[in-house]
Amino acid sequence: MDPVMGVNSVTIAVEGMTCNSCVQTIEQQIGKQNGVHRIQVSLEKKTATIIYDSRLQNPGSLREAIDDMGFEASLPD
Amino acid sequence: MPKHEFSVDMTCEGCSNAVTRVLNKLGDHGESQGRCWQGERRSKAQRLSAFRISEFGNWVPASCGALWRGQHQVGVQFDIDLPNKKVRIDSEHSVETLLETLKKTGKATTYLGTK
Repeated sequence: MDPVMGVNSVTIAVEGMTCNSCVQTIEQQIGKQNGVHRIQVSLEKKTATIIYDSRLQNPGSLREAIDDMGFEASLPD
Repeated sequence: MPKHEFSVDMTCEGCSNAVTRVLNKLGDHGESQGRCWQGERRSKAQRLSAFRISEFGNWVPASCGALWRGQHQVGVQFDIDLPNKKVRIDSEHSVETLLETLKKTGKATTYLGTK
């Protein structure tokens, strides 16, 4: 990742997903957010890996966006 | 309190849990008195056992989505019908607020009217 260009990546733990439709819903909903370049959600690992523009988004705002959708999202310690 | 009915395109339990969580969050602020949605009034001890403390320290209904006067109020009472993709909500919030909240789940949501 190239922090100078403002491109960062974060992996967020997501609880509450039970099937692929939850995965697609999150990928669509968060993928539309301003500053999100790419999002990869894994049902097995219960994680969402997001590549974002750190000038527009930060791990906290991305975690909150997933939380707002009704899934329990938490940042790795 | 008005009863509203919405159709929400839920496909699995994960989706219905997501609806439950967004509605619980909506209910965390708001003051009202009401009854347990199972229709009977419960003693304080029974009510307290039905609750759990969420991470924000507010009391949120564990199972029955009850409603009563107190410091931490839930202003929303709802039940979710996953097979028929329906959500019935008993709340003072406006239809717009309820629609907006349900749409946060990213699911297709339409208002079916009052019950």
